[in-house]
Order: sequence, then C-alpha cells, then structure tokens
Amino acid sequence: MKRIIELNVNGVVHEVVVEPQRTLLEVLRETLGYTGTKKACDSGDCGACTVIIDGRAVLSCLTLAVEAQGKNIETIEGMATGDRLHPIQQAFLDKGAIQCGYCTPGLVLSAKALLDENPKPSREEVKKAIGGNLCRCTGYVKILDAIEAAGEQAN
Amino acid sequence: MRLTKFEHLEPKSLVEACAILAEHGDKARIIAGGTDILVRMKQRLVEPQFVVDIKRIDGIAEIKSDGAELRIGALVALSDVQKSAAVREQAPALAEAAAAVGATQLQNMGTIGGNICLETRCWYYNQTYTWRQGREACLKAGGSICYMAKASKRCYALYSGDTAPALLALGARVRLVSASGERTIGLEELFVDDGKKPTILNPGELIAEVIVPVAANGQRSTYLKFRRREAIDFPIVGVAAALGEENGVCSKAAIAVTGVGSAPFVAKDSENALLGKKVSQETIAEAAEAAFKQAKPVSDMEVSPAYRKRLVRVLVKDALTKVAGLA
Ligand SMILES: Cc1cc2nc3c(=O)[nH]c(=O)nc-3n(C[C@H](O)[C@H](O)[C@H](O)COP(=O)(O)OP(=O)(O)OC[C@H]3O[C@@H](n4cnc5c(N)ncnc54)[C@H](O)[C@@H]3O)c2cc1C
Ligand code: FES
Ligand code: FES
Repeated sequence: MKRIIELNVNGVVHEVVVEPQRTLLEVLRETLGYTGTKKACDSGDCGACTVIIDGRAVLSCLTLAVEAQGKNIETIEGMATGDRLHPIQQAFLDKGAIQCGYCTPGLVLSAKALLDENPKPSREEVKKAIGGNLCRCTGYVKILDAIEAAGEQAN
Repeated sequence: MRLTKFEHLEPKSLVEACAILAEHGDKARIIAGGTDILVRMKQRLVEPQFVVDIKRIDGIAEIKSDGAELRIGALVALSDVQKSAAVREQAPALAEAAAAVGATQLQNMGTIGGNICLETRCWYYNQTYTWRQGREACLKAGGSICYMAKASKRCYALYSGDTAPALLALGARVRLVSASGERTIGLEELFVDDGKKPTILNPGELIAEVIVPVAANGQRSTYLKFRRREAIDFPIVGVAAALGEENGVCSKAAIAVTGVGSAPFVAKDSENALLGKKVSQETIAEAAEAAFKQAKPVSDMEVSPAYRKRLVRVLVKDALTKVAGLA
C-alpha cells in the first residue's frame, strides 16, 4: 500500500508517495533526484550508499524509506555551501583521495559522522569509521590523510 | 535488487507487536535494524507479506543497570552497546563483540536483538535468486540436500553472530514475549544446533531484552574474532572467555565459540579444565585442547574444517591468556 511520508533531506522536507518495499537509496536517487548517494552492492557490503541519519552513518540500501520518516537525513548534496566545498570535501581534493569517485560520497559522509562527534580522531578511529566503505581505485592512505587533515582544520 | 511487495506495520507496544505477529503467523517477519533480514529479502530467501517494524516500540531501546544486572533492550544499537560505560566496565566481552560486528554503519543500524537472532548462513544459501536457480534447492531453501555435507539429512548453515558467544560467556538470559505470555530463559537454551531453525523461538515470539549479570569482583572477559578482513567480515571463528580467580585458583571460567556450528556453543570441558586450578600456561593449554576436541566443524568453502578446528584452539588460548593477564 502506498503511503505519503515526509523525508527531511539536508534540512528540506519532501513529501513523497512511497511503497513500503522501496529503500531509502531508491527514493533518494529515483524519486528525489539525490543521485550523489551511490548504489553499488545494494546489500550492505560496500558503503557507497552511506548517508547520515540523526547523526549516524548508515546504509541507505538497507533502510526502508518509510522508516526514515521524521528523521534528519544528510546526503552529499548537503555538504557544500554554495560554491564552497565542505572542509572534508576540500581535503579529499587536496590530498588526492579521489580517483573514479564512486566511493567518495559514502566516505565523505562516514568521515563527517566521525568528525562531528570526534573532531580529533586517532588514525585507528578513522580506520574504524571508514572500515565499511570500500574503495576499489585508490589505496586508503590518501583517504585517511584527507580525513585527518579535515579534522585538524576544523580545530 | 528490488524488494518484493509487503505491508509495513509499526506497532507501538510489545502487546500490539505480539498480537500482529500472532495474527499473521508465518506471513510476518520482524524487522529491527534490517541489516540481516533486508539482504535476505532482496535475495528472495524470505518473502514476508507483513514486515513488522519493532523500532517504534517504547521501552526496549535502553540499557539499565541496577548494580547486579544489566538489562539491555532488544533494540539497543550495537554502537550504543559498545559505547555504554556500564557495558564496557561490567561486561567487556560484550562491548568488544559489538564493536567487531561488520563495520561502523552496520553497528549503527544493527540491534542486539537482531544480532542474537541472526539467521544461520551458508555459501550456497545466502546468494541471489538467480544464482540459486543454477542448482537444486538446499535444505534451508526448502529442498532436500545440504551442499556443505552432501550425505547429511540436516542443514549445516553456520551461526556467525558475534554477540551471542560474549553473552553466553557472561551468563546472559533473554526475556521472550509473545501473545501467550512471557518467559525468561538462559541464552544457551535459545539456540539449537540446526541450520534450518537455529533458535527455539516460537512463531510470534520476540526477544524483548537481554539480561547480563554484572561481572563479580575480579572477573574479566574478552571476545576475540578471526575474520578475513579486519575492517568488515563475519567471524570465521569467534571466542569469548570470562575468567574469575579467588585465592590463587580459578573460581569461574566460561568459554563460548561462534562460527563453528549452526549454534554458538559453550566449551564445557574447557571450563572444567580450569575450575579449581591455578590459571597458568599449562592449564590454559589444556582448556584450549578441550575446546579443540569439542569443536566439530564441517566444510564450508571459506576454510577447511581442520583449519577452523585449529582456530578454536588458538583463539581459546589467546583469549584466556589475555583475560588471565599472562600475555
Ligand atoms: C556486509 C555485512 C556484514 C556483516 N557482518 C557481521 C558480523 O561480522 N557479525 C555479525 O554478527 N553480523 C554481521 N552482519 C549481520 C547483521 O548486520 C548483524 O547481525 C546485525 O546485528 C543484525 O541486527 P539487525 O537489528 O539489523 O537485524 P534484523 O535484520 O532486523 O533482524 C535479524 C533477524 O532477527 C529477527 N529479529 C530481529 N529482532 C528481533 C527480536 N527482538 N526478537 C526476535 N527476532 C528478532 C528478524 O526477524 C530477522 O530474522 C553483517 C551484515 C552485513 C550486511
Ligand atoms: S550499496 Fe549499500 S552498502 Fe553497498
Ligand atoms: S575512487 Fe574509485 S572506488 Fe574509490
């Protein structure tokens, strides 16, 4: 049965008609056009679909859209302010932490969830925070460097 | 992978949830964090008509401590379990096990109730619908063969939950509720070594909370997990150990193992090898040997049974050495 729900994405409330079997990932990408959130494995293994819900990094491919009703959803589209990139995004650029870019939105959101809670994480804490985000192009060193640099900058 | 159609129900209380589950029987499935069941639904291993979201139920998402027991609501996220000061101090093995589940996102989403009830897994079963069409259905999928042990009449899918062994070593109980009432049982009684149906939960029955006795003075515990990738993977073998010493001899020993059979198991002979004796490298080696003997893994493609069996010995030894402070 279709339902009308409200999804709060990056502070904007969208009223959408959804069927309960649709994942948040599908609704973000296909209904609302937030295609920055990526779909890769669609089964929890890769982290490409990571978004932040109520301050925590979660997988939108394993979240039902109806269950995200009334929560604060943050996607990659909400990170930059106008033309100014978020410090984490800027650090990814500066440190060369991006190749094809497919994993990047998920990684940036995992990093944001971490730094919002713990602005000065140890390397081990950064590793744990992004352990669920697979990158098939780069090594992870530049990504770790970028997240640490963004953390230092915020202080 | 699209999910097939279902109705989504959101009970606000345990009573309402139980009534819904009783009404719809096998057509309904509980969803908590969804990180296990939604994957299986996408793979069309289970196609419920009713998905019962228990996350809106009041009162089962908190951790309470009265000094003697920790009561952890079934909905508490694994990341809250590992962050809880009470759990870290009074039940360290549980905090370590919660921190070892999958990766961060899965710990943020996954609940302790869902982790305990994690379905048993198998390389031949946890595959997409299309993949599975390539061969006859296995026992767990409704057929009559187990590809892990072809001569067998039973299903050997593996239990690989991480928190269950920690909870077993800590002597936890679970409070179960259903439309016909409630009961509290030892966690050990919840599990059965049958890949097809690994718990004794009745249809319509759910876990409301987990009750963990607070560690007695001087009692320590830990959870060690061996997996392919440290960053994200199910355990190949996981071992939890709790140890207490009084007057120089072992007064409490509890060891539990996951990843070896269709249920986590308590290594009773290992415990007996330690109780009443001085905890030393020698007695620890005896305890590890006893767990090795008790472990009866079958082949599962990931590692050979012999390797898995040896891992049990190594991890029991390492876990005990660590809690005994002998490392
Ligand atoms: C990539 C990946 C890696 C993973 N790695 C690990 C790992 O290393 N270790 C590990 O243990 N798990 C792992 N998991 C599995 C899963 O994420 C966790 O076990 C998680 O804790 C399950 O909890 P949940 O709340 O998401 O469960 P759900 O998916 O909501 O539920 C799981 C099952 O339990 C039932 N259920 C849920 N709550 C209750 C309740 N209160 N009472 C009765 N039945 C209930 C559901 O009906 C369902 O059958 C992994 C999953 C993925 C996708
Ligand atoms: S697309 Fe969600 S984890 Fe891979
Ligand atoms: S940059 Fe290509 S997957 Fe990470």
